[in-house]
Amino acid sequence: MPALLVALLLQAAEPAPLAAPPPPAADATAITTETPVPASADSPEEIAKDSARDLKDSRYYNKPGATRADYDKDWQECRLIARGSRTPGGSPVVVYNPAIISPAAAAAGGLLGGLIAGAIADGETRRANRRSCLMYRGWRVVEVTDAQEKLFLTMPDPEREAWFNRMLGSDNPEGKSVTRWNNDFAVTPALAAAPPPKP
Amino acid sequence: MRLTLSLLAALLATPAAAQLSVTKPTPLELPVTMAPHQGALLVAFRRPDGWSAGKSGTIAFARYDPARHDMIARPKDAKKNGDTNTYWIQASSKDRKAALEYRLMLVSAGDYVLYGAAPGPGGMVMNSFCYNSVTFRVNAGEVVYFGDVTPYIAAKRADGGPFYFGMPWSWHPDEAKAALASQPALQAAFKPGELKGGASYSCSGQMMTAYDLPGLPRLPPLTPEEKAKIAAEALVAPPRQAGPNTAQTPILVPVR
Repeated sequence: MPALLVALLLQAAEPAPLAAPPPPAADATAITTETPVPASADSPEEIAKDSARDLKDSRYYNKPGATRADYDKDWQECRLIARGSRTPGGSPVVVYNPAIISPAAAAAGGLLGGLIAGAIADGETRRANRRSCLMYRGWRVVEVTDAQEKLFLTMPDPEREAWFNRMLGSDNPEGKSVTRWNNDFAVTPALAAAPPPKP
Repeated sequence: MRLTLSLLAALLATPAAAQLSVTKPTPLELPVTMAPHQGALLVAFRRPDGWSAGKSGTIAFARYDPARHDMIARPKDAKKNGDTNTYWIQASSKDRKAALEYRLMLVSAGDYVLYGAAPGPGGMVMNSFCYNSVTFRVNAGEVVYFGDVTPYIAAKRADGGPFYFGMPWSWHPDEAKAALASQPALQAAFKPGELKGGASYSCSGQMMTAYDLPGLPRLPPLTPEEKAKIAAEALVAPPRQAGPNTAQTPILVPVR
């Protein structure tokens, strides 16, 4: 069930040709903070190591003009947000309360509520939410071509990392498609003509 | 028979005590009276086209603290302590064949944030607009109109892109006010919501996302000093265990 719901959400994220110009970051000020990440025991090296997991052989994040340090900062903040240990506004969440983990679950109660709360803690869901958080901050997900993916298999690690570090801030990221966050859930996109109503 | 109907009408007209979670709409066909500490939230499900026709949906709101940019979760012992603040509002459509249906939710006065929305049946909201959402205030005695939402499930996009799922918002205050014509007191209390964007909060839903309404005034972002103050206060007196900020949202005693 979590995977289906996350898939529905991500369906709203539109893949687009790489030639498309990057959109302005979608109101990213709401979750962009000027202060350092608070209450994080992770060192910059650990963060960089963890954030590299999302610069995979098959896809990577891109934001024109951004640096690896920008990526690591956003990645770590989004990790904390997706964990529920930090608010997007930038303040820490200190107290555990099931009603915060999911008011919907608390309202549902019982077995259903437990299932929802359990799904929220699921790793796959956290990864999907980290991704949506980064995308909301203006990061785009670029899928590499099959040829690039094969090349990465033979590339030494430092060389491959350097390639991803270069591409994540590039104006012209190399790959076959780019996916960006959109606001369709709140604002209707242009729709095709609707089918006639059923009799 | 007449006595029974009179009693029933009187009962229904009695102001309901505020609830911690408001999930049942107040029927507009019957007389509605708000308690002194209550206001109401009015939201509509609008189905303007063939894609939304026949679709149901649910929308949810949570109590909010705009000064902290965070939702106020229901304290664990709220019921035991007689707390009658509304922490959660969930409105579901009922008649999916109607082109327009209104939901009037009686709530305690305070600030609220749009928490999530879900097109489709089931009455559950699994997403959370925690990255950026919309906040508004409901004062006692006011009927605050939030806007209309339209449920779309697997609608075809004009550009041939992936199927569209969404719950877009639209603004029709004149129609909403007219819908209260049968209840002059409610109509007199009608107020278009003063919506503000930039309302983020602790991410907690299964699907974390944002609901950006263009053109709204925005809450000012927290300053570094405010963030530090919130963090320091949280360490001393965790706000979410202590319940809402009593200076802004007093704990209400149930009407007996």
